[in-house]
Amino acid sequence: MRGNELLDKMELVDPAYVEEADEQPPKKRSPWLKWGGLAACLCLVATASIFALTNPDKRVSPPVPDPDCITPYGPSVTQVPGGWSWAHTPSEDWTSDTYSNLSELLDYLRLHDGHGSRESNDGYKGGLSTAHAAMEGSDTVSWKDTVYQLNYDTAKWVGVYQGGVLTGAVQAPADYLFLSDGQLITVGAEYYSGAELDPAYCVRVNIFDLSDPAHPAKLDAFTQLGDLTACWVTNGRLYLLTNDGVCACGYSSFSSLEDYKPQLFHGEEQIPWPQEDIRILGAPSRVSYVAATCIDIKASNVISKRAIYGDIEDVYFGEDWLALVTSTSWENGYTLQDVYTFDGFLTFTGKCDIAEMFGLEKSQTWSDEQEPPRSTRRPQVKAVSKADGVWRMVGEYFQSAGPAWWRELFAVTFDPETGEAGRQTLQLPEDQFCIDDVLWEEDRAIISAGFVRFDPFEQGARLAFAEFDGMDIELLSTGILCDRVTGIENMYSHGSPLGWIRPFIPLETGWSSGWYLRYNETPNGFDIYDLSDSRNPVCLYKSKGDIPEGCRLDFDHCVLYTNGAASSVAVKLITPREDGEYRQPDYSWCVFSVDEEPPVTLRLSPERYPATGFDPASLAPPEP
Amino acid sequence: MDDSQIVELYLTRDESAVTYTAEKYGRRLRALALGVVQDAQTAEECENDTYMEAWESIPPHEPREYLFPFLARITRHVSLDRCRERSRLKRSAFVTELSAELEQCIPAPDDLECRLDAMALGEAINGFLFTLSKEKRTMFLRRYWYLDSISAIARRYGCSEGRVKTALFRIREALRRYLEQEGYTL
Repeated sequence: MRGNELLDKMELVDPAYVEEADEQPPKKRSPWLKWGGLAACLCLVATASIFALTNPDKRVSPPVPDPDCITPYGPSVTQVPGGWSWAHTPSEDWTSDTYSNLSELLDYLRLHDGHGSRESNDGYKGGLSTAHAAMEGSDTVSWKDTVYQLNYDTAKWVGVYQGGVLTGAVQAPADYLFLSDGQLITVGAEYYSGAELDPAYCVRVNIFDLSDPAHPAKLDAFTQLGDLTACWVTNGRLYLLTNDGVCACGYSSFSSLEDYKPQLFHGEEQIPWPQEDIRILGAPSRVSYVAATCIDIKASNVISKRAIYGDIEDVYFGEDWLALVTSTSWENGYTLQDVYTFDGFLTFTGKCDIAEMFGLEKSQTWSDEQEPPRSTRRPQVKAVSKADGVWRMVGEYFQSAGPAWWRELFAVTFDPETGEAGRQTLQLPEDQFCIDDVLWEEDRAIISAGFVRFDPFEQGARLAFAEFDGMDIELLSTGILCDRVTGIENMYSHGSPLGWIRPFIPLETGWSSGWYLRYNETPNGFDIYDLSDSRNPVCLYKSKGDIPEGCRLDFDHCVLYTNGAASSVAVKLITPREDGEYRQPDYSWCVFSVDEEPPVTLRLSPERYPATGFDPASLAPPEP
Repeated sequence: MDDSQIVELYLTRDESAVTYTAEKYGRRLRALALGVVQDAQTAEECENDTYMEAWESIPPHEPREYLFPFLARITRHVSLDRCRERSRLKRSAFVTELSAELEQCIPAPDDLECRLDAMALGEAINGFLFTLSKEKRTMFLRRYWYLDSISAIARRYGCSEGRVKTALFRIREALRRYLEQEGYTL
């Protein structure tokens, strides 16, 4: 048993003890309190005076938007005129909308770090969700009849297979594999122990030459400290995003400014991180950053890098763009978001103030001492994408009045170059819903809005669409109810070994274009939908217990391929141990085929393929 | 309305049960969730998830005598899950820190499987808590059940953070010894 399990098992404590611990203990007054408090006050006054004298112009509170710029929200407003203040077009030398440099931010945070319960200055993980677009890296790649595959037991080496037989190994920490122009790139998290540093989390990137496929030769390596947030490869460039942070309160002042910056190494050589590579988003409540690095794989050098500081909540990315969503808590109970956008060279391209867009006022932050406030209106972005220079977002707009509360679906567009923006909201049949997943396509987003009903208890997901045409938006609610896919970000909490789920798998080929497989709550399998017409979506097939009883499908790893006009999907099948446990299950590949002739059906091939040594893309689909 | 009446509403599938529960315990549950997730919006969601899970769990459970601990246990569970599954809440480090502290209590940690079933483990922990003074017991539970910060516990008990840390260290040591002596293998 591990500490985290014991932490969970603490819930077995007798309820009587739990209640006892929630009673307010009798007040004690320490004799030291009086003098200690006086001394603390004097120290505080002295420190504040010094701070005020030495920093007369520095910003000590977050900026408040001009009330004249705020337009009341009304349900009839669907389209927002261009040029509003919340769609910010940046200047070329933009580095921050609050602080002029990192030192200034640190000066502020030494007195105001919202580190909450962190008691030590050991550094802490800023903690971000892994980016919402699925990581493009794979666990298996193949090159010239040679398969390279992660070793799941240790994640410390990559197996080299030929003909399904292990012929060698690449010693590298790896969570994701990429192939680019005859080179193998491994990206893996590891502990780093530098000469002058305490061991810390880091991400190692190793680049191997595959001229001799059986014997990959290491060409170069990069190491970046922090937790892996996202990584992807496009056009011969590797993007690596890590997140980290350190406590900046007065008790933990490091002597060097460098200690508050990300650390990146090329081989053993540390690459400096100058001020021009730093961006500060809004008014951060702590030193927490995303370090984004763009590496030219062929030339093996860093094209650009940014340390982006802020209260960053979510990261979204595409081939040549990056969007960071920051979240700030305000006294009136709002947790309000801003969306900052960057291009493929990590240059800031614009900011969308979601709060202003919905006409919400901001006020001062509330302290930990106060009771958590109730919010009345709160838009929350749940997915971001970009097409033709226009940013697209969808999300939930939470509202309440007295005891009643409800949500609306919203979609927004904004073009930072012109300052134009659009917004539309839509009331779904369910007052309460939660966007579980969003699949972006060229001109639309397919949205699953999960809901729960009581008495009788029922849960499901309503299918909705956001269609985009330039800046124009149309939101469509459908009558289609799917199984709800909960835990889209991480299924671990549901006690399953499933990883990232792709709720809709487009069957993009043959005459099934516009058809989608949809994950159907474990363990049933797949449904099939025809979503080619957003106004008339059709469910073609409802799962009929397509997989063997007790088994699970690992939707983190599935490969789509075609056999003539038909579509098939290879999915990793997880079979529990004999005692029903999923801790060390058996993995094997299996293949589903879609029979497109009416009545549409889904067939599971009886063959099973070993989980290791094969590239699932090469598996033969079952015969019709 | 007393707890027994609220539970009765759940048992009769009367949706006003959720309203009464929120009125009576909503603030405390939200505060508990907020302490874990440190985000007002997520705390609200955890609170709502608690009501949903309570609706599903009563019946078969009938927590007439322990409704708040019953709800708080759900909130704690939901909040911890949220922290883990959505590390963006910036609280994963806190949960990791608490886990690391508790790992010191495990006589012979291993990562194979839990050899002690939940019931026996519950008995072991409760048996140990019984041996502690009330102050130490509540301090331990504030840290590892309610997941309070050291500073919050120090404020609650009107003592220094150092004293809280020392007390918790000793309690963890005592728990490890207790489990060893009693022959528990985790």
